[in-house]
Amino acid sequence: MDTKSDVDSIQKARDGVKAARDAKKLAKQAKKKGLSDTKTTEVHIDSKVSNKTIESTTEHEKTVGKSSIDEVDRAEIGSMQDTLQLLNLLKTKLKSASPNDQDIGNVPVGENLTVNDVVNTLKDIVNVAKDVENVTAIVQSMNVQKSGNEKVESNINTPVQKEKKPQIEEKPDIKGEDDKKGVGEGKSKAELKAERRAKQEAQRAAKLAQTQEKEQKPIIKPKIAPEKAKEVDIKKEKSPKPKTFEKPKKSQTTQKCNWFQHLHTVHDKEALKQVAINSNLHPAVIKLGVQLASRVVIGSNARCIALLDALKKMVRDYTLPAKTEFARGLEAQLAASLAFLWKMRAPSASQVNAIKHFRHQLTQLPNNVDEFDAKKKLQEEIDRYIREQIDMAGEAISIAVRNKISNGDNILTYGCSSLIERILRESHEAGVQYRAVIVGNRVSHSAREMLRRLVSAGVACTYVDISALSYVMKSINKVLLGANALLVNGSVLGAVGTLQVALVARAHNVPVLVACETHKFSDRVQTDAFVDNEIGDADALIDKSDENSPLKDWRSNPNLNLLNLTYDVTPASLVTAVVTELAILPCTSAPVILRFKTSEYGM
Amino acid sequence: MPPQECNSPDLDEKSIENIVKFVSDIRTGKLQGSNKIAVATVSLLEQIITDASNTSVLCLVNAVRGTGRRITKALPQELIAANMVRRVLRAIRDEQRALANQSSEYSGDSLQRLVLAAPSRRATLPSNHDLREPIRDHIAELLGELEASTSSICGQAKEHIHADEVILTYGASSLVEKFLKSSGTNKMKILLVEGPKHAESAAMAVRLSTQGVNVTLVNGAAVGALMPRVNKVVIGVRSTLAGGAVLGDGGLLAVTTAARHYSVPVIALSPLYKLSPLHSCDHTHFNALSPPYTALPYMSGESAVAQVFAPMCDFVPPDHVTLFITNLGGSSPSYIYRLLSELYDPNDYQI
Repeated sequence: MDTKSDVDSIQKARDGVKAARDAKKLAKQAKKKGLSDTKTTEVHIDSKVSNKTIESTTEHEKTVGKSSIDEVDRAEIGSMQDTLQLLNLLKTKLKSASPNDQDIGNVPVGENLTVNDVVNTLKDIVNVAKDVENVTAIVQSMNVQKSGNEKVESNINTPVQKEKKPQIEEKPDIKGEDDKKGVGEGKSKAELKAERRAKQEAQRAAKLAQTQEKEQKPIIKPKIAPEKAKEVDIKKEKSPKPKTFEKPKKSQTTQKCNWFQHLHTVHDKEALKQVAINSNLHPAVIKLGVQLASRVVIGSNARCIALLDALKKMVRDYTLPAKTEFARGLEAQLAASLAFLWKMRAPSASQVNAIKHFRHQLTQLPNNVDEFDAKKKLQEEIDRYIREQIDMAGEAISIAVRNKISNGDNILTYGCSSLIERILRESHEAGVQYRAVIVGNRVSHSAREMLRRLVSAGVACTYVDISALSYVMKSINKVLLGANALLVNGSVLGAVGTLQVALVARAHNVPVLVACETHKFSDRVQTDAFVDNEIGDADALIDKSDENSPLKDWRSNPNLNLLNLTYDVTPASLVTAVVTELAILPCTSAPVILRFKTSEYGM
Repeated sequence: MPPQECNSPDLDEKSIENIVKFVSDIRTGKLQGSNKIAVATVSLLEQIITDASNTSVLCLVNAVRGTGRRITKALPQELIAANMVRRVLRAIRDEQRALANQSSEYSGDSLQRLVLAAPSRRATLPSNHDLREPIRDHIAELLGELEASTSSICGQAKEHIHADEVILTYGASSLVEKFLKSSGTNKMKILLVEGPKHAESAAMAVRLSTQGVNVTLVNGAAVGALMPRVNKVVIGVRSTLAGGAVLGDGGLLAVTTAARHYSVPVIALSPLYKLSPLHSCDHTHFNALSPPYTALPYMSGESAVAQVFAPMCDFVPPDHVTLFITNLGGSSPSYIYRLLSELYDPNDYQI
């Protein structure tokens, strides 16, 4: 089964490589022709530029010349009347765009001007690319009608598919490069890159024209000076391959702004594109991956339980290959699964700890263990972890906090936490009369979920937006917060907004309790939320109920960013105490707990 | 000071109608924006003064004061209208003093002079002199100041905002928007935190970004996370209270608290017409609740059971503000009292 799928994939890859090679050849031919036809023009450009010392500028100009020439040439080639019309239109567009390009080339790397101009050029390129797409569509339909020849059809189909993708994705990529360059040299590079892209775009279009022409004049003789050919070759080597297919694309948010570029982005659609359907991964793992990426499974505890559940299924269905030690074989499988899962969404502290525990158990297995026994032991171990570390710990914390809530209290909580919900629900069931004040924000609907759960449990609830925090804080007796992780320096990693709640509570001298099971204690350190964070879906900031929200097309505005952070870090000084299943402790005791757990559970 | 008695009722029918129209314009949202409200108030008072049948100082003061009372009763949160009434009252009193050849040494003087000052200046006044012309001059001057206040505040932007700074601002404010635009550089980064009126904040972000300024729009929850990277917080205020406290949009206190925690300077833009001589020490003063659907949509089932608050204002104590920028330049919160005594007559603090 495995080997078969492997063979399949290899075959596919080969086919892909072949197609790419064919496409390259065609593109080369088209370009050579273009060069030969318009050598004179280029010489002219050369002489014009010769007094310029900056080499990059001249090179750049040449590329500009070439790309436009390519287009002109292609227009000549186009024999069919329909396509000719469209290409003419395209030509005029390019012509209008090209003086703009030359401007960039002549300016000696000015700061503002070049950035703006590059952006403009890019917009032009995208427009042109769209036109090219139109043309290709028409050409394709025509060819499909005309020729029953399969080869031609496949030749046309591959570039079209290729072309559609980068058009959507390339533009932000280039923009990001614009932003990235800090040094003067970087600017001209980016320009060159942009030009090369334009050239690629043109080449692709050329390919199409070429394939279509193939029927009529199959061979085009290259007749260029040797030095020119050399130069082209060099450029070919330099020019970046269309990496859109190999590399996972960064999302636009990160590329637009430098100052939070280092934070990893969680972008549902991007991650979901990479889901490997025919891999060796267990279906439960893939399902979990999709759930994590699409934020169906959220919350520290839920993610941990879901992960352990998937691992359990994986262990259950695992078949040991011949001549392999059980622990080693499973470890390989585990590593592959985790690599996939962490790609879908970066692991939470609870998940990391659970995996540590699982690996520890795996290494504890004796070498000659029977497969059945090992599986049984591991599954039991997973169940025990869920029961002890999550369920019973939650119960212990619930009891500890319940003792801290008295009748008539107003308890403020922020966002949604399964543990806090459990505490509040069980306190209510235990007969404590209190009011829960739930603070939420407009962007994430987790607080509303919390409100829904508590209201259905019969707890008296008040809901306020985070902007009304200081309005309600005066009447609050205790603030109860959940946490995603407790870092080893005592800081609390919580949902974004937790820090603000803690700050306002401190300003009003309200005690802040953080409820956190010890399985969420992490050995990482973070001083502020910018060291490491996840960027959530920026579109969540757009008001969905407003049809003509001004933010609708924010991605097309290079100066506008929407930032939706996922976590923030509350320093230990703002937290009165953290409630764990072991004890109510000051935050700074986190390393003690961690050391204790390491010796106890090997995690 | 108790209001002086005047034989005739302080306002005639027509003036009362004008006041009612003014109040309803503000209530229905036809009249929005602090500057517009200030200008409209001054125009209303000018009209009332012009229409006054009895032009004696006492009656003019009574008419203006009566208008102020009616407005503050109808719109208790609209401190700016009351401020404008105080400014006009001050103008009338100045004229009265000038007429009586008394220097305007009354306000903010030494204790000795206060004691020795003639107790009954009013008795010496010629009561039938028409003061309306000089008062109208004063009002024109006031209107000119209102008009110029935005530009004079924006003129100071260059001193406070420099290239490559990260500026955080909260909510939508046309004054802050103009201030940022007139900073002379496009290279700063602006973090726009959306306030309770998120649609306006979004529109402001788009407007600023089309001017070539790098704008990042974030939700109010992210303020704490972002604050360590911020160089300055620039805020617009609804009103500046005596003692240097600030009334701002809901949620402003959380922003200034975070700024204080990270020692980020907070600059409050407050034109002179927003300076109010009232004190507050409580978030419930001068506050009102917006409809709860702004926080939790009516559509959600749980909103039927839960209690929902959406306050409009937030009270920021004076120690959270580093600097006030008024038409006259920058001043610290502790200096606000002095500006107040220059702007208003102490007799008019309570209208």
